[in-house]
Amino acid sequence: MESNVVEIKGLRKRYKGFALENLDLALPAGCIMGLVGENGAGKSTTIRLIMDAISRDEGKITVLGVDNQSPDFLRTKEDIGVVLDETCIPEVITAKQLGKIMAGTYKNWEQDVYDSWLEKFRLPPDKKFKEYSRGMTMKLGIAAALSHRAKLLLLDEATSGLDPMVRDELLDVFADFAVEDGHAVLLSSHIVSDLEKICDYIAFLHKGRLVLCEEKDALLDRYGILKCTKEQIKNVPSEAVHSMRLGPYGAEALVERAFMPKDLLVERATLEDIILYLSKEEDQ
Amino acid sequence: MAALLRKDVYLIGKNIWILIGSALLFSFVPRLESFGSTYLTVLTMTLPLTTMAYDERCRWDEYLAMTPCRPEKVVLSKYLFAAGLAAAAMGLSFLICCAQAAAAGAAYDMTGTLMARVSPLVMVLTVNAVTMPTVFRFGVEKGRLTMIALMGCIFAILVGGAQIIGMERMFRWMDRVPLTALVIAAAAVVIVMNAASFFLSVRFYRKRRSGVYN
Repeated sequence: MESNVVEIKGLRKRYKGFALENLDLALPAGCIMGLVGENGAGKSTTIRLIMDAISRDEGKITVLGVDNQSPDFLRTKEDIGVVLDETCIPEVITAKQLGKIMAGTYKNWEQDVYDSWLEKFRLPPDKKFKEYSRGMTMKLGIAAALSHRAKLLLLDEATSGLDPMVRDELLDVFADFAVEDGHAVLLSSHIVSDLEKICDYIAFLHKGRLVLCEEKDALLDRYGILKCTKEQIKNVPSEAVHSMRLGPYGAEALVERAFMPKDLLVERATLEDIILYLSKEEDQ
Repeated sequence: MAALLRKDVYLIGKNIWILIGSALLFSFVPRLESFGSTYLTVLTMTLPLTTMAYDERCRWDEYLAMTPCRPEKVVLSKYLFAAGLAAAAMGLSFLICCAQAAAAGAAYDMTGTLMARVSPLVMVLTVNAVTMPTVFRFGVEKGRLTMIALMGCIFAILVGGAQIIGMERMFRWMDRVPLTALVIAAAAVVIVMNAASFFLSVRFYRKRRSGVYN
């Protein structure tokens, strides 16, 4: 039986003008979960709540088998590598200095591993952080997160604002990390194509509500895109259609394959199609 | 804790040399000694705020909240850094004066010189005790304003008192109190104020970090 690295039950957090409502989520060991949603959907809030960096209103969160509000969780944080959307490192610090700071912060810090990541990512150790490009800053954050024997990686928009080559390089790093025994990655992003490439599970947050949390392959099998005439779409069972677009030349809809008549051709839906159509359905 | 202090040292970077340079300069120019003491006092009070401004700008505390770093340690590191910086600056200045006098072979009022460093140190620690909780509650800018207002009040009392009753008369009572008693009383005030301030800061910092003030 595979154990869950992160388990969230009935999580609620309310702010003025925003609420994360009744979130249930489980990230099994050995998996990469993509947390997808528009800006302000609650992705960063979820990650901060997992780390107990902000207080929750209701619910329970267990990380690596430890309740995140128990005193033991401070020790568990040793096993969690976090990269936030802004790397949050003071601009006058160099990569070398950051290594020394982190060595005093994490008991399991491995300086040689950190140095090898700096080399692999081609990060100059003596250059101040403010002189780094966006890609370099994210790589530095990832290098730090990977250098203290973490079992869980929490990545908040770690690939946003990066060029496709750097994103691809980082996605490979995350995939390699997840392969190791007992490891898992929770990656929040609104770049759905990145998530489609590496994730095993997809959790879709929309306006603070979890719309779905499913295995990516099951999701891609379940949904499809139907392109047909306006007349044809009228004959499709209503339970099959999740959301549709009517244009001057026909209709396009996100449909569930299981309910579809055999005579209509359903194309493969990308994860982006599914997310876009489902968020449209939610808004309606 | 050592890591946090180390980070603050990295942050002030070259300012450390300005601090050391100032201590040297003002100790070697006797007429500037009084101004130098004030300058060092202000510098050692502003440098911890500089580090906190860096932290605030890059959201360092958000990052720390993700690490195994206890909030108490974060707050304590700021108090220790501020106190250590002030003590180091005043200590350095005192040592330079002693060395200077020893080299010249001149008669030297060691107690007077020491007191000239201890009193600004007491002032720095007292001002920090008031400023720190404000920074942890409202942020660096408001903390800086509090510090400026407090400094303004202290200088207004000193200058106003000196104008009205004269500096000597204002501090004449100190001659009647033994020096040891004065030092102990000052140390007690500083310790009590900083302890109370620390617990208040931890409370504010915890709430701030968990988003209560958002």
